[in-house]
Amino acid sequence: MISPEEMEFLAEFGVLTIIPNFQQEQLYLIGGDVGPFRPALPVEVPVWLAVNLRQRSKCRIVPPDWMEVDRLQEKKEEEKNSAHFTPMPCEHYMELTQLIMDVAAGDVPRADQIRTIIKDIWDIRVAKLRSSVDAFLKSNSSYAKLDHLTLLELNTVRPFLNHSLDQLYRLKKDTYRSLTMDASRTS
Amino acid sequence: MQAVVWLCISQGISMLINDIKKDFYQQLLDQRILLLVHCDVDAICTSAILQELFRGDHVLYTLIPIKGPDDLRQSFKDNVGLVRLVVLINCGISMDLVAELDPPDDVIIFVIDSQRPMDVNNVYNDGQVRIVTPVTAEDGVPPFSDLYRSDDSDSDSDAGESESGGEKRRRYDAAFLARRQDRRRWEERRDRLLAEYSQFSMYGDCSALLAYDLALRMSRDTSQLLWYGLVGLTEQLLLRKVEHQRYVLSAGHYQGQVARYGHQRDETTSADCLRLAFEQDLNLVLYRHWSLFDSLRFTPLVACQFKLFTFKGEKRLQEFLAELGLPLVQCRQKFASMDMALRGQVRDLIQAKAEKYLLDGVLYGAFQARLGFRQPLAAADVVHAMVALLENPDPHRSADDCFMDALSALDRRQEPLLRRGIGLAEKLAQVTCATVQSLLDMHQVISVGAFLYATVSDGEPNSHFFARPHCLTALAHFVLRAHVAGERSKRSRQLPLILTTPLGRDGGACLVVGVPPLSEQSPRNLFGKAFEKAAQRIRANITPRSFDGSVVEVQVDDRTRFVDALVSLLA
Repeated sequence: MISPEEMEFLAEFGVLTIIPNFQQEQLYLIGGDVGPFRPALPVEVPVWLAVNLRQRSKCRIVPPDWMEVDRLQEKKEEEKNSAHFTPMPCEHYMELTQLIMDVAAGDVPRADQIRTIIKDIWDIRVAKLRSSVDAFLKSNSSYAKLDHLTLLELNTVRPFLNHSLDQLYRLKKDTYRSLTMDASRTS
Repeated sequence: MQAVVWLCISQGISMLINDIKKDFYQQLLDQRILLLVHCDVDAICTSAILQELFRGDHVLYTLIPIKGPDDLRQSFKDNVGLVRLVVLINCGISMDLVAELDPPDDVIIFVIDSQRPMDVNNVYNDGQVRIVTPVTAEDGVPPFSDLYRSDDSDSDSDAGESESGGEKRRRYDAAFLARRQDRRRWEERRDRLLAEYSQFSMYGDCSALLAYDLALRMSRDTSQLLWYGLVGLTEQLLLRKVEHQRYVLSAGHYQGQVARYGHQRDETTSADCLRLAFEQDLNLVLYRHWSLFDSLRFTPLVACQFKLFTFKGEKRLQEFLAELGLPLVQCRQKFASMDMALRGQVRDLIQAKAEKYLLDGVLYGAFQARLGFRQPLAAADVVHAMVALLENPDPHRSADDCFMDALSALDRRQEPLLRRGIGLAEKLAQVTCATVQSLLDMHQVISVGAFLYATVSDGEPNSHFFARPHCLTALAHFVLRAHVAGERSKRSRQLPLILTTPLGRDGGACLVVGVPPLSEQSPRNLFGKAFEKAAQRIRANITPRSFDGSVVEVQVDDRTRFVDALVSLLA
């Protein structure tokens, strides 16, 4: 079970474009080199650095390409019409939206609408996940394959699903054992 | 004290900050800072802005609230050992910092202060004390040459003369006497200049907007920081520290900034961002959070105009509301639950009838903030809430807790704290009104010739609310206004007021405040110097409780003699 904080941490390894308002030379970090920073010139930085600089009012965040009302609206329609999961524009779309809206809601045009659409997409996918789990249990199959599921969605069901499958197995085992014992007694 | 004459003459120029970013802020980076902040709303707003800037630059700082001059000396002494840079906010500029605080040689003191007059020793200091607030010609600081001069030759010759025999003295007589006369004349002129300069205490531009300008210069301004600055500006207006015209000028200037933030956003920007607006608003105490009726009753302007302390006053107020077309039942409800149509019209209705009822000043240009979908919050509301939190009479909250409460209430995410502050402010307004009522009923405001004198008696149940400078000053202003409104003669408009209130349960001391008369347009206060002189005359010990000296603590035994000395002084 990975906690939401850890997943947010993993999401922060992504890349965002920012427009700094300060000047600084290149930063040599273990994960890679960042910079140099020149005022009003866009530069690509890791998400964690972008969030930190924005909190210190040292830059402006440029929202990623997929964070746009029209494209998200299309994605939502696609997701609604398909029976399976569709590929998401970003592996950590939910965490990134949360991070960006927390610190830089003013930098994103139509931020409220975007938040609503992302929430709708999330709801649709989690509902699909729930019904597919339900179908899996009822069909008594031994394995299921889900494409294009993101880490955060997976971790909403992981603890519950594992635990309940274990319980089901225990119940089935005991039922099977008691049935066979009855059978051996009567025979 | 006369060591000032031997100051480093080679400078001759003052150590004033010209470039606030280079000479002030850049010096603070990479150092441990001591922030000494006065307990008033403007200073708290300034420190909020500076803290935000420090957070962005990872600067380590220690924040200490300061209540008065004694507190400043004590806190400075206790904490100066750890740091080399000290920033004083809204405290200390009217006292000779080097002499009073006695800083070690490597400590540099930056002062941001809206109080005037600035002590000349701070202005002409050679580098240890640096004044960040711009010194303008308006302040009228006497020129350097009028205050200091190198008198080495004179003193040497003096010493030489007294040592040598009488013969030599007679030979240098004429020149020596002329020089001595010249020096005496110069000293007299100097004393006169200084007395004139420091006679009145007043306030200049607010410090919070200066801090905002610093942020603007560094391109780190946000609407949040502008909001802090505007709260500081509104405090100056509401607590009558500056006259209305000055507020209007500053407000007009910063309205441009408000508009700039407004243009940066359009209708699609998230509602979560802070939206600022500048519009004509009613100058009624907390009317958005209270019922309209209560807010009208407890606003000094309206209460005095309608003479709500007399029998017929209430009836006149009800007539006023009837003429506006607002049903009394609705007015007694909380403002937020009035009919939406009525709520929108209240401001226009009152504006239409303001002239007829002589309510000028009921409308003013006010700044408001909107966050999310809540009701807009006026800067005035925040000021009232912060003052109430700061001067909370609750004995379980220490002064530091109150300071931190007021500081946190500025942050709009701390909604419950702000609500609590507004509740406290409402209580304070009610208590103030009740105290004024009782003072007027018992005719306790007496004229003693040069000024009016009033005492809050020991038996007064709510006297513990006024044991603090801001509340006491507000009460004094209200009492003066109400008294003048009730009097028939015009003479009382020109008289200032001195109000005393008991301090502490044991009744050993009392707090005395002096406020300028109503006829004075500019809020210049001469009581700082007046109290000092009166205390010297009766050789009593008084402790100043505010930096401009207009609020002092006097022993109850000395009170009568103190007032008599003031009468003879001001006659």
